[in-house]
Amino acid sequence: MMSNHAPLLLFSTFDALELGVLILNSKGEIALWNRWLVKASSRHSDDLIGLPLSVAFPELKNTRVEQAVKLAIEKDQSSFLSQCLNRAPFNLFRLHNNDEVPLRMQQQIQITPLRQFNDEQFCLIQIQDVTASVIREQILQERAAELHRFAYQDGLTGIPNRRYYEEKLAEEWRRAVRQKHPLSVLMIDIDFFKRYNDHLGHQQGDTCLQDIAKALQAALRRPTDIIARYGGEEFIVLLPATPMAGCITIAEQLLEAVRELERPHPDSPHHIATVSIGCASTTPNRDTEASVLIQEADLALYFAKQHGRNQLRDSQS
Amino acid sequence: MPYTMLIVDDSRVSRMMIRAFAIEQRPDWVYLEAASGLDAIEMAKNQKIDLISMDLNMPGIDGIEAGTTIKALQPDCFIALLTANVQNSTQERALNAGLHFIPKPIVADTLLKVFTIAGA
Amino acid sequence: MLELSALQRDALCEIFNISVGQAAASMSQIINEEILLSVPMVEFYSVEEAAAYLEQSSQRVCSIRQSFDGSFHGNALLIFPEARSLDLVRLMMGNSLPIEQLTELEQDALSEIGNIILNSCLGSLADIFKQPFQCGLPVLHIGSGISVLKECDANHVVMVLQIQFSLSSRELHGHVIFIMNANSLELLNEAIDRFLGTLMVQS
Repeated sequence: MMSNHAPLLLFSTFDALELGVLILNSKGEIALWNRWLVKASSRHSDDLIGLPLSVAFPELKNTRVEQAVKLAIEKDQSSFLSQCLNRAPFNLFRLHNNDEVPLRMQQQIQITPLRQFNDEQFCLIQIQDVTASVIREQILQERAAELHRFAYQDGLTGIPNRRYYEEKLAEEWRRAVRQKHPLSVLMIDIDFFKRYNDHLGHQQGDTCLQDIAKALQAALRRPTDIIARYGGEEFIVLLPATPMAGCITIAEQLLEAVRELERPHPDSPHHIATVSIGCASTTPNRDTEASVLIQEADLALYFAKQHGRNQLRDSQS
Repeated sequence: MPYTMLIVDDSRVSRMMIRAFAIEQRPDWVYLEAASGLDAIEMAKNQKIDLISMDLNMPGIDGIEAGTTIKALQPDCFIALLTANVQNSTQERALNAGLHFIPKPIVADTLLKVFTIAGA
Repeated sequence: MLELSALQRDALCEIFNISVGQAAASMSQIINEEILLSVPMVEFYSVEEAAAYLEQSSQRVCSIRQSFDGSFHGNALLIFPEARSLDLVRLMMGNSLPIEQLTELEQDALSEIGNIILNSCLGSLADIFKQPFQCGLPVLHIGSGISVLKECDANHVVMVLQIQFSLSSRELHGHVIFIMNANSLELLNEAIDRFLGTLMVQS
């Protein structure tokens, strides 16, 4: 299997490898390293032969590389160092890099014992460039985060959508049962929105929806309060740990926030765009259901409209 | 009067190890062992104990419960809770009960830590 | 099958507790957050019993395998249900990706976690045998629970360790299993008795 050229051939193969190879003797001194590593570290190949690893590469002091070398030489154990948990232990830079600024190489490292070689225990360090994988995963992560955001966001208004609200309602309901806290909801509807659209067109209608959504969202000050677009011109607000009194105060602030927009409405008795709000509150227990709370808020909203709109009604009145 | 240390752990090997490491550092102390929280409480009713190394997870009542009861019987007793649980909720419970949190595993250093914090 | 006594199993548990304690210290250093590891239980099974144990849950599992060779030889594996492996690696890396599968780099990170834990367990075995175990590099695999045992001989012995990860925010459980050749139990038996002997002398 071995020809006469084998030793030479092995040596040129060693230097042609597309990964970094470093061999340490039993004292942890550099016995051999390949051209790939010479280039990536911008050092001269002869400078480092015979030097202890941490002298040749001072950046490795107190890293897992140092521990792993010890494990390989003293305990015959192999170690794997991932890029995620060890940020670029060696000071290496990308070889084929078109950018002007040298790019630090992300590394995956394997450290294994080389057993009974000349009766001495050597240690083999292999370094792979995983920079491309890191960049690829960053892109993947950003995409996934974006998709996730879109899945829970209303496309027109940019506030959370009904799907988000449904999940939050289930979550907050469980929490309220556990902590025996009250939970309130507000059902909000834009008054005479169809007439608004008929008079000013759908584009104006969309802007109106966007502005009101923004105003409502801005008027909610607590980070735990959740607003979502429920459908057409309807919004829903979830108020954790809030009793009816607090819920009414917040509803009043929301009514006022929309009035303050002073958006002209050509076909409303109030002459500006307004909303009606139905309030409902309960302290849930294991025997009650969230859908009842929503029905109550819906009914209260119906009464608010019956009584002339631009106002709130609560489910207890 | 020599100090008395009570070692509470359901694992016999743990008790042996704690005892071995403790004897190395405090050879002239009196050592007692209990295999459960209830046994430990019974012992604390009958004699003065200066220091307790208490395991957290034991069948029956756990180390925090046992420690709380013993603290009521002997407020001056120093109780070290040995556990491999660092959850905030556990740490808080231990702190509220007046117990001192010592991370496992049991090695010579663990006992050194107990003696240092106890000032014994 | 040769049985270990309750005291011997207890001793083995404590030996592993010390080694995973060291693994936890290295992991805490890496992620800059306190993490504790413990082994609450060690059991021994035949391959058949281990298969029944692993088949209990139909979930897919993520395993990290390392071969070892010394006083006896075999494979050591760290095993998690797939969902827990996701939780662990994201807890350790401090991010919450909305992706339901392990990414390539996350798989590498898990391999390293497995490598640290398995090396520490094999290290403590080496300590009680006073002889090193040569250990290979970790290999990660995701599949059914039973696939973990696919390279077993019927006369192999399976040592199952429960392993508990404790972080300030939550706890996670997994298993470390050793699939070992038949004479391993006898050797373990002797080594544990030697260890217990040193404790008895000291007390």
